[in-house]
Amino acid sequence: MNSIVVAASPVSRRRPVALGALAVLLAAAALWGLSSGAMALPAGRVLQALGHWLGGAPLDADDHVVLMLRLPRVLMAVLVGAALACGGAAMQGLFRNPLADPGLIGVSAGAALGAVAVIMLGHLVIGRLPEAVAPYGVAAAAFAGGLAATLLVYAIGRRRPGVATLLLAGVAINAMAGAAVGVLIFLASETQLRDITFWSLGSLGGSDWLRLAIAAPPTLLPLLLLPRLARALNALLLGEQEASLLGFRPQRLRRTLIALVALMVGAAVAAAGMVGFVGLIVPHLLRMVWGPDHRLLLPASALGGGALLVAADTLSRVVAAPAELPIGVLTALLGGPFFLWLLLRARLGEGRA
Amino acid sequence: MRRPGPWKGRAAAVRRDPARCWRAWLAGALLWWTPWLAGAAVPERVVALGGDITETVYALDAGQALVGVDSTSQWPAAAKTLPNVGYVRQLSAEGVLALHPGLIIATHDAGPATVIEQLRSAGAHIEVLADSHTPEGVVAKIRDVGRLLGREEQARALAVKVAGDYAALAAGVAAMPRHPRTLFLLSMGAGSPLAAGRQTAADSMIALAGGRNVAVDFSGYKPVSPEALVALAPDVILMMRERSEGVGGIEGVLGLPGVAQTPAGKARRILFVDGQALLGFGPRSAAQALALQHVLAGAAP
Repeated sequence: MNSIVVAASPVSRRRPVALGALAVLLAAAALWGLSSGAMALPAGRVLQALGHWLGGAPLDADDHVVLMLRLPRVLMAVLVGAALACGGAAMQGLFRNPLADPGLIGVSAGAALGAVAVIMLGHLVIGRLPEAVAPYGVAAAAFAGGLAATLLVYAIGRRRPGVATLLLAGVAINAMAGAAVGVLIFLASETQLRDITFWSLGSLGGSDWLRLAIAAPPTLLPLLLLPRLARALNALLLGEQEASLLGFRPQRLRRTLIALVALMVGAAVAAAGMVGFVGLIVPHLLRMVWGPDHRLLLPASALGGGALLVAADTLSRVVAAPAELPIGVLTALLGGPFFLWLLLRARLGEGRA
Repeated sequence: MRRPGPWKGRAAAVRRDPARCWRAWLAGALLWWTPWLAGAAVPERVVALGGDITETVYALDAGQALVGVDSTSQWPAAAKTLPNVGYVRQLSAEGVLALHPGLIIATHDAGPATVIEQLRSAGAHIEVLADSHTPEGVVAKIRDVGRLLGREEQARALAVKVAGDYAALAAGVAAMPRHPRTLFLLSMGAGSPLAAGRQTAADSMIALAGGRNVAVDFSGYKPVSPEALVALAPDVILMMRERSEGVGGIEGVLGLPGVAQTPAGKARRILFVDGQALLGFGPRSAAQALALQHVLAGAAP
């Protein structure tokens, strides 16, 4: 399945231009996100609020909306989108398959199981926790569930060489976690059912500064470390044996990659619920534009994923205002047709850039 | 302290059009004093989160103060014309704040908790009411909403009436010689119907109205097979009136596999109830439950 071919030309010249363009795109999306919402606040008012904040001036009600509701939410969207897309790019590199996404190693299904379990059974435990900790129960369980499922997939997958066992272990663990979620859904009450449904559609609605501060380390650390593995991932595209001949250690690389992706995607799912398609679409699109070199692809995916999720979240806040559309609906609704178009246009799987 | 909600639009208008500054300030100042001149008035710009809260607000004749509701607020029809802030457990802080609420009255399970917290820290006046899935709870809710809206008088009258209905209900139930086996079915497409088990609003309502829920082996709404339907042997089958057309009325229900073989099916005791009114634990639920009790008392074979 050597379906991704390394471009012959060096990317070092294209890199600054490409990353610069994506950074501008991300900044534009963030500004749009900051200045849109259910409250009609003109852009000038938003800048004024930022000024108040930076200047340490007392905040009024409008400032509060911009600084306490929108700003942490936009930043959270950047983190989650970057984590999902960059994790997707790394997984596509590891599995040498453009259809891979972070869910493949079980992290999403495990997170879902953790979250649903707490939604269902949490009242048995959460009620006894201090008031301040209780709201984080679902997120913490999602994070732990994602890591646990990934660990299981990895432990099974490492028993044989190559990624095929890893992949199939991922499929099996996904199915089992899905079945466990199904059992819990069967047992759920009406209210729990609706909570589960909304969680599985994803939302950045509860983002505040504290949640952002909790989510930042496990997403930022892998985002900074993954680009350092770009050369090894490039070598891996040639095949595991070729990579080890080139002096890389595929086993170790695989372990590091899976750990980093599980960390960042687990945190992203814990923070925002299930947000589909970002991890698949963004790296795929960027690979079509700039080729499969991971030195460019990994940071570009992070920037592009952040921009996409900020834009999707902004739309989700605006289209049904004062209510909010679940963000997973938007990413799938926008991503699905786009993906089909890509599929038909570029004959996916042949990896033409 | 300046109230943030209602005045913000006015302040913005002032900023945009300096020529009208004086008149606007004058009008604003006059309006500002109106509540003190008129005595305790209904708060302005109320947002109701929860169908039962919305019903209570309208029942207290304060519907004109509402500027927004959630998606579970389906009655009265006027509520559906108001801006909708989404599902009550999946609210968005900015969406609610965008309505510039002077007072937010929320049902006990409004959420997520973070959003409620965000609304509080944004300075919004939000009151989350206690769980009210009992007759006492419904009466207390009416009084609470009345107090928040400055409608104590109407609330007292309504609470007395509702409490009276519940008392009549309790007396009626106590006088029933036997409690008919009752099953609440949620209508269905092609698959098995969903029966209301333990820990559902329907289960509480059946008990309250003097029936005996036969689906006690599970909690929540679960699909029941035709065979299980026959085995449960309900004397009365309750269904949502809202969906009676969808299932083809009584004839349609009798045609469902298994239904005709139950005592309820043989005696055509299929009852369509107003689900929203009966199960919502709003001000209408007492009268609805009383009506259901009359039917159940008559239906006891």
